[in-house]
Amino acid sequence: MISDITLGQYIPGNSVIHRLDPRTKIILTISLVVILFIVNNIVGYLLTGVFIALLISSSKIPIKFILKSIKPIYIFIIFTAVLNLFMTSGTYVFKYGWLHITYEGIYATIIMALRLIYLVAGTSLMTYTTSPIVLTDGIEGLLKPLQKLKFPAHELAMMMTIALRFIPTIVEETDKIMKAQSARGADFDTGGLIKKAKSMVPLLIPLFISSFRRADELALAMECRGYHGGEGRTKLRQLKITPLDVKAFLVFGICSAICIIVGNLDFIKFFR
Amino acid sequence: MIEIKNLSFTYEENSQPVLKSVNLNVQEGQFVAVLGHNGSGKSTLAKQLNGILLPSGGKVYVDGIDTSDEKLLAALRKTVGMVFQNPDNQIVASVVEEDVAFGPENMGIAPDEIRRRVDFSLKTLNMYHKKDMAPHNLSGGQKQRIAIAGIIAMSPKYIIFDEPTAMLDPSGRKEVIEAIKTLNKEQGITCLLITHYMDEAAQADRVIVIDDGKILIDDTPQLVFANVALLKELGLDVPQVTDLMYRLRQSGHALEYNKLTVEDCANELSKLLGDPEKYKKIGE
Amino acid sequence: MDIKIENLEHIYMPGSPLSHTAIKNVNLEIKSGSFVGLIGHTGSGKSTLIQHLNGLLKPTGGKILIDGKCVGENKGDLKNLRFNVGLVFQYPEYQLFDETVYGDISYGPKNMGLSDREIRERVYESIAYVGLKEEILDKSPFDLSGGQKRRVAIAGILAMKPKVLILDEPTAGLDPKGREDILNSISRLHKEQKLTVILVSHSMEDVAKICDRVVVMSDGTVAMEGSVSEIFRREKELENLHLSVPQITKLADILRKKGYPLSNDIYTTDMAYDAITQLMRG
Repeated sequence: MISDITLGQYIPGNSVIHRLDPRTKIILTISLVVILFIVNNIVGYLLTGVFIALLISSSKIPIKFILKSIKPIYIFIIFTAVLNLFMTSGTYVFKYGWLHITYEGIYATIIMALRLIYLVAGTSLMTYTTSPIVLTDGIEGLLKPLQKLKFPAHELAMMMTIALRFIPTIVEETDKIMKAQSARGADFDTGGLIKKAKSMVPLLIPLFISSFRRADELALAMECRGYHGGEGRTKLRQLKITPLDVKAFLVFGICSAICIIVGNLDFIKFFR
Repeated sequence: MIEIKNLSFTYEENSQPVLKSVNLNVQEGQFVAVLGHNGSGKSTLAKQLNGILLPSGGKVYVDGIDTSDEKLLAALRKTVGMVFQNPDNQIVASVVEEDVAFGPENMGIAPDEIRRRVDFSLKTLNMYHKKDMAPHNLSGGQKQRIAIAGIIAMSPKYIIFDEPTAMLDPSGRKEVIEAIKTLNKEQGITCLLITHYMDEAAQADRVIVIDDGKILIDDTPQLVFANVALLKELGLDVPQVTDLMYRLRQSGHALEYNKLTVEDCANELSKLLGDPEKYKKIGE
Repeated sequence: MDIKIENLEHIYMPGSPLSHTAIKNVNLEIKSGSFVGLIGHTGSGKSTLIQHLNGLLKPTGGKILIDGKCVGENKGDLKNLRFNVGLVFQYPEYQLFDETVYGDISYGPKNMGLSDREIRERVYESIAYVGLKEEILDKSPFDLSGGQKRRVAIAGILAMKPKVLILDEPTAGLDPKGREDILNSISRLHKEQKLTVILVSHSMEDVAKICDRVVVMSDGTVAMEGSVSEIFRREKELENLHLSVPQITKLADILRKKGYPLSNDIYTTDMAYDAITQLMRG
């Protein structure tokens, strides 16, 4: 049934990566993205690849799930690869009219493709090993210091929590309204763009109205349960930095230092 | 104790009043059912009890707290919990235990105390085994029990149930009514149940019938349901057996009026009919 | 329209790890002009079954014959099927969308491609059937009361002049007065228009009062089927399926066990009243 859709891509587990504090995982994922842009040569990228592969294997997430997460962006990878391949100037490997491939082009293509694949693999490793609700807690925890600067960290987290809670409900409702209008002869599939857009009106208006009603009732219920914003609020689940997190930071720090140093050794850049 | 003194309420100025000088006292530990058709003012009355709506005239006191005193609002919300009709629209979090923790979290309670309260209220509502589930995968009755657990975790003295069973199937309705009775009898929580269903109201200690913003009847269930003609006139539903007993009484048969359950009515009817043996011959 | 269901089976998301069999081995015949109560607790497959009758769901096994013709054989027929078999979902007021009640009720007829005159006639006719006044047609449906909205939504289905009307718990969440109004309208439609009606309900009392046949679903199959009196005689079996008989049937049952010669055919208050007064008269 449509209500059975899983949210995000969290795969429950008990690996080292699963057990890390969400804040640790968020910070390290962001660091990984930064490293991907500092590393500058092919050996550095191969090394980073080994590092990411080790992370994936220690998370016990089957590799096919990681590959699945890369699938939606492969068109994008090919597109940037083609651009890089044909648009980079340098020493020609091949030339036909205005079409040319250069050594620099091949090099840039490989690096760019690896960069994108690593980026997606790294971030999806975080979402595979952290449930959306814990991730929300982590984001709130990290943004909390900004609250002093009037940044609405709690409100943002509350919004995400409510969105996570209501997405399945609204998906179910969309399905129901579509069926109800189909029973009155609505046709959501055929016709041109304008006809299709018009046929959405009997779906979207009830959906909006019911969402507003839900929001209204939810606000009332939250008020009745003493909600008054983030001030003075406590949390059932406390985020705690454990020795495991400290270890993770150390290991990550050493590995990324190696990647960065190797990735910036000038003599490896033999093509330039 | 809940004290309602001369309460009147109008949503907008110059429109019809929804509540007209209502006076009502509810003692601690009572289980009170409130009946009335749609638009009678029963939900408006409920919303007056925890300060969601404030009186246009008169006063409402809960344990001495004046509901219109803004400084005491947080204390009021802690004392009076409220459960609504649609279970979907009162569950905040996407994990059951997380949702139950929402109220205590708002109250600023220490994490280990929240944990204790969450476990306790889920166990009370018989939902502890579902604590890690996502609410949208639960049945209507289970969702409503989660919503009630969320209120219990705030340990209120009073709970107002605003048609909690209206959207549920019969088994869900039974689950919720049983839960309310347990809370009332075992935890001593004062319960105010707003409902359309007579069979639910029949299980209360006291039944109040509201019509046109006024309290029309305030009595024991037995005495309220004896007045079948009035209930029908008010557009309220009358259980089949109650209706049958009433009609037999109307046609001159001597039957006690205070029987509500099927078993009691059957006993009463057999008293009226006398020895079954005397009908045997006719049957043959 | 005669409906014949043969070996119907529906599996949601077949082949995936979330695959779930909602109904199986359903064999059922619904004669034209009958008034069928469909009962069974939540999750017994009632909703899945009724969504097959107007082609919203496609069977994963078995078939449905309507007037001898197999549903889904030909795509053009599907739309006509939707107009012939009107389906009122649970809480149908949540599907209202137009600015005016008139606009909303005319949505179905418009999709049928009828002329403005014909649409107009149908809108007026159906609004009368659900017991609403014509003044309401110019109002916004969102300004109406809950019970009125529900009736407008039902009128939206009636305006398509279906030959079979299926209602999924049309009285859910209404107050007693609202429940009675809607049941009376449906009952009148059945009598005057010779409509075949399938009523999904949790209220045994309602089913006893207005239906003439009962289908009991359990665990995705038809557990019992028969006339109202045939079904409500089988109290034990119903209880095993976590269903009940009308309250008054229970009362008659207790009295019968005490030795009074009452018929086992009592399921409305009128029947019980007559039986008891007759007994006393001798």
